Amino acid sequence: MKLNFRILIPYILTLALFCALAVIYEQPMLVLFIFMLIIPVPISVGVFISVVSKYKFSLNALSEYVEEPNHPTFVIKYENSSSIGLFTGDLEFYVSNRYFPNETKHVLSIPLVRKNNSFNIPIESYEIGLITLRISKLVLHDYLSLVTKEIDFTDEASVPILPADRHINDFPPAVPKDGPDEYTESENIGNISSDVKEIREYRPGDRLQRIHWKLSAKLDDLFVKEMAHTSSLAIILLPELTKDIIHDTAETLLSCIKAMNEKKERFEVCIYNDKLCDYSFFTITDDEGIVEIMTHFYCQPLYEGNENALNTFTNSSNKIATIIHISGKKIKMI
Amino acid sequence: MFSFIERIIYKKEKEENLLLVGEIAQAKKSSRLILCLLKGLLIFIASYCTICGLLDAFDISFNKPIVFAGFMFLSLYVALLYMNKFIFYIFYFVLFFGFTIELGRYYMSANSGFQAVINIINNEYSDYFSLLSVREAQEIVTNRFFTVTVAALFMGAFLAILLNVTISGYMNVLETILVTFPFIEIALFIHKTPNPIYLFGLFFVYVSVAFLQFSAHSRMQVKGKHTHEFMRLKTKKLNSYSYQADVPVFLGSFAFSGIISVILLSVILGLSNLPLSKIPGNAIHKNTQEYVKILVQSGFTGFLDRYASTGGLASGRLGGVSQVRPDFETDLNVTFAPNNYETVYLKGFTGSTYISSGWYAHTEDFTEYENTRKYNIENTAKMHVENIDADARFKYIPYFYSGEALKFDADSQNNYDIIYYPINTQNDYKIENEDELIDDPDYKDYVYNICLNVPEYLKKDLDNALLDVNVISHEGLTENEYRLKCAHAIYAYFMDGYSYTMAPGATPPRRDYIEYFINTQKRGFCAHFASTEVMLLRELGIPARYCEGYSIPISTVADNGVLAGEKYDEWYTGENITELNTVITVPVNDSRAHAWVEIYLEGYGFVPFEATIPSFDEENGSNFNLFNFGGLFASLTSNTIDYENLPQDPSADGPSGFSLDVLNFLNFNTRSTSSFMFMMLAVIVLSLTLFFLGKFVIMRVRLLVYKAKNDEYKLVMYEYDRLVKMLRRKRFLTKANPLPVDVKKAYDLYLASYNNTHKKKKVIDTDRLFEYYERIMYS
Repeated sequence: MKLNFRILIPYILTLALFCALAVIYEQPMLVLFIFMLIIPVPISVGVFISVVSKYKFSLNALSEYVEEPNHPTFVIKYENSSSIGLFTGDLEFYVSNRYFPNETKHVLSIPLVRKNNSFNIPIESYEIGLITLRISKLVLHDYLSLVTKEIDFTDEASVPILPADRHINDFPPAVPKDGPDEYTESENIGNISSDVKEIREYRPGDRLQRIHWKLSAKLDDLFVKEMAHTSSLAIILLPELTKDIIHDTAETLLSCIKAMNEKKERFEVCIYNDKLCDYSFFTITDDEGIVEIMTHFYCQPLYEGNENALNTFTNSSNKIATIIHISGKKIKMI
Repeated sequence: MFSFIERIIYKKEKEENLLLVGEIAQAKKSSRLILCLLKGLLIFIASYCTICGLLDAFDISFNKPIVFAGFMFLSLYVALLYMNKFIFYIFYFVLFFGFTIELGRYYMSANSGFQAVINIINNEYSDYFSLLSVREAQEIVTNRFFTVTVAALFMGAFLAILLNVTISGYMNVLETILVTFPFIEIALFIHKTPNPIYLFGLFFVYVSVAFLQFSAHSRMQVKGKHTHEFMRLKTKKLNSYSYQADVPVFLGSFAFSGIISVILLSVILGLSNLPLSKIPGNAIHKNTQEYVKILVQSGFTGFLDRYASTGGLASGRLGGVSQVRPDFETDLNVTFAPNNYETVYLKGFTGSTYISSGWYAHTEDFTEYENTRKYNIENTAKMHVENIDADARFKYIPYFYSGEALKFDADSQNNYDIIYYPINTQNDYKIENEDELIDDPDYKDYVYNICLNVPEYLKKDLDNALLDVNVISHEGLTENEYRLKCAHAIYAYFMDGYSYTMAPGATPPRRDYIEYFINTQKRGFCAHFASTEVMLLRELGIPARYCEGYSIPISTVADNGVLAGEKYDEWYTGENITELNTVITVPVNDSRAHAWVEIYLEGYGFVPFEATIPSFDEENGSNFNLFNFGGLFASLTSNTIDYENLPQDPSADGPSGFSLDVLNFLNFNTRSTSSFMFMMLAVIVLSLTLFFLGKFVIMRVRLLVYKAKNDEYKLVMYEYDRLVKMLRRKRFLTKANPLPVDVKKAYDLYLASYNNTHKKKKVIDTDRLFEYYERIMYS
């Protein structure tokens, strides 16, 4: 609990002024002002102390994802188990698109008088990406704002904005006959351990199926299994995360995925991380998978070059597959 | 969805961050109407308790039911102005127009009521401070019960408008206290306590407003005027959003402030019996009371005086006092034996040189030299002056002083005896006396050079003034007679075109005191007349100078003098044209402080001459045709109220208290009622027309600009905004933050509904239309 000196100091000065006036002018009615300033303080602080711990807050996204041009909405809820409410709470939060981070702080002052209430915070985004609302601080005030208490409520929620679907002519392309046309998940089906290349920390966009639940429960953090694909797929979609054309790339990628998915094509998507010079593969079987891969796509760092992903992939991957290289609106089969 | 204008405002933010926080909404929200009514309730309590508390503290009767109803109506009216933009603009204008018209109609009554309140308060203050004089404003309508009620209604309306700003607009406790508490403090300052219920009401409002102010959820801006449900404030790196007003917050504040006010009320009752001293115990309190006295006696103009000496001697300083304010406390006790009916002048200050706005003594003091003058007067008198509170820098000496050294009392240098030779009448000046002193070249230079000196810039104005003074011919007159006749002629000139007042107003800083008096002011007190007469005499070539001191007219001697119990023979020898052969002590207060002219008469030196004309009561009441602009609004602003048959104070007839005489009160015999109603209707129609016309014109101009600039984005936004508003108005769109897809659905529904009910079908390809909208809006 903290004293709010911005209010407290003027409050004390006003009190001192009235005391001085009452003494100088021998005015009994000025004493009333002193009482008027003193009496509310214990009431305000007393109620605050008894009520402040009885609030519960939560943050959620209204939908798992939105499609352009729709906007994501986040919902903050509170519940008060006490019969008396507080007048105000200041919620400090940041909203950002992972692609275009900004540090503008937002402070939402909300009334906390009711037993429960919820506040919808719509975020109007004019770019695709992963929109994240991060609550950094929640401060509750007593009625006079003389005392404040910071509540332990830091939370984060993310919603990906998917680009609008675009029709692409002659897609998917015909796969060359001499290329591999069979998909095998593993040569050693059933032997899980041989499938797992590595176990790493959870990153946004990872599929829930790949979470290593046992290990996560033991270590109290989420871990996912990175699978070792010993076999190759017929088609690998390889999008470039070039900064200037990211919108077009995402739009093309999503359109390609949807087109291939519709035609029940077997394919993999390779998402490249330019900072780590690493890439991860995703196979898609349903809509949930599309959201997952797009979320993962939005979490990667952008770069300036036009063929970083392609160069890295061709130089380091041993996969034998038809690569569909996506850069902006261009689709190139390699 | 943001409004059209907000989109433009936040376009920059969008360009920088590529995202914005949209219109935040909460699931359970408050009704604006209830919020407005709750704020109206606060305004009503504050305004009613303030005005009625003041009137109650001074036991001023008024019609309480009328005032209660009037205040309630006005408070709710002003609070409901915040309902939305349309109501705000139209009905604010109607309010001010109605207020002005009604003030014009009841100006006489409201003014009289206001003056009645001021008079009653002034009298109470006068009693409290034991003041000997008090300002009394004129009440044209004398039925105080009626006029005070009217005045209270107008004051209440004014107060409600102010409180609407401090409560509905800003919800600021300090501003609310500053607007209301000074009224109550008027009573509290002299320990007059209003009924505790009024204080309870005020404290209830103060505490409520304080809680609401700190809650941050109390300011409710006009809907549609600026912002939406949550108020946005944008600084460089911080965006804050505050929910504007919430009914439970109001109710919570009311509950807490009710409890606190009850506690305070019990304290009020306890404190009301405290024994309190009226005598201030410290310098600040004493000074404040002095200022309050100035306010009571002189009004606010009293504070504009540029120097403190507003009674007593000003030591030659001129023009800095707007009003003479004697405190009527004794400055001198003068003991002497009156020998004639002439005014006795006790000179303190002598001004020989005039510089712009003040008289200054000559650098060389000829007082001692002048005291050596021998007079051919056979009367010899003694005077004792006891200086009680007069300016101690001066010795107050009567004319024709013998030159004998002052005989001071053993215990005080301020009390002294003077021997002098009083003349019996001014005719004595005709007796030829040899003027030996003038032989001294320095003194001659002083008399005929310094005392004839007129500033060059004044000469033209003085010459113009002298054109109106009757010309006195030297012919057949001695030089002394000529000088006296000239002085009398100037006095007659003053009598014709000037008036006496103790409150002429201060001389403007860049104007010369005498020039301003001659050309503009033409009203003033002794210093004005004496200074001007000295200059006019000098312009005529007659040596003259300006004096200040105390004058003791025979009336003061008769009214205030007390027998000194001294032997007459020891105080006066010579002819006595009065029948009083006795020694009298006269208390001389600062209202007898005076300025006069000294004219140089050969053989007598500088002798006093009274330049100040007597006071005539020129105030014949105010002209109440203030709002009668050439008869244009004559029917609106005039009324024929039958003041004789207005409801009187019912408490005067018996102990029954007030009656609910509302109908009688409203049933004025006003020939202007129909005109007023017609005008109000016309104003409302005119306001509506102007509002819509203005809105239409502004939109058209904007569209023309957008078209000229080929600004596709703004044109689309304008069209889209119009479409959203239309769909909302027709209730096809109810969602708080509609997306284009929602708008499209609503528009499709609207088109289907329209085509079902109209023969002429609307065929619009909404898919293409919204595709186009989205392309422009999100590109």
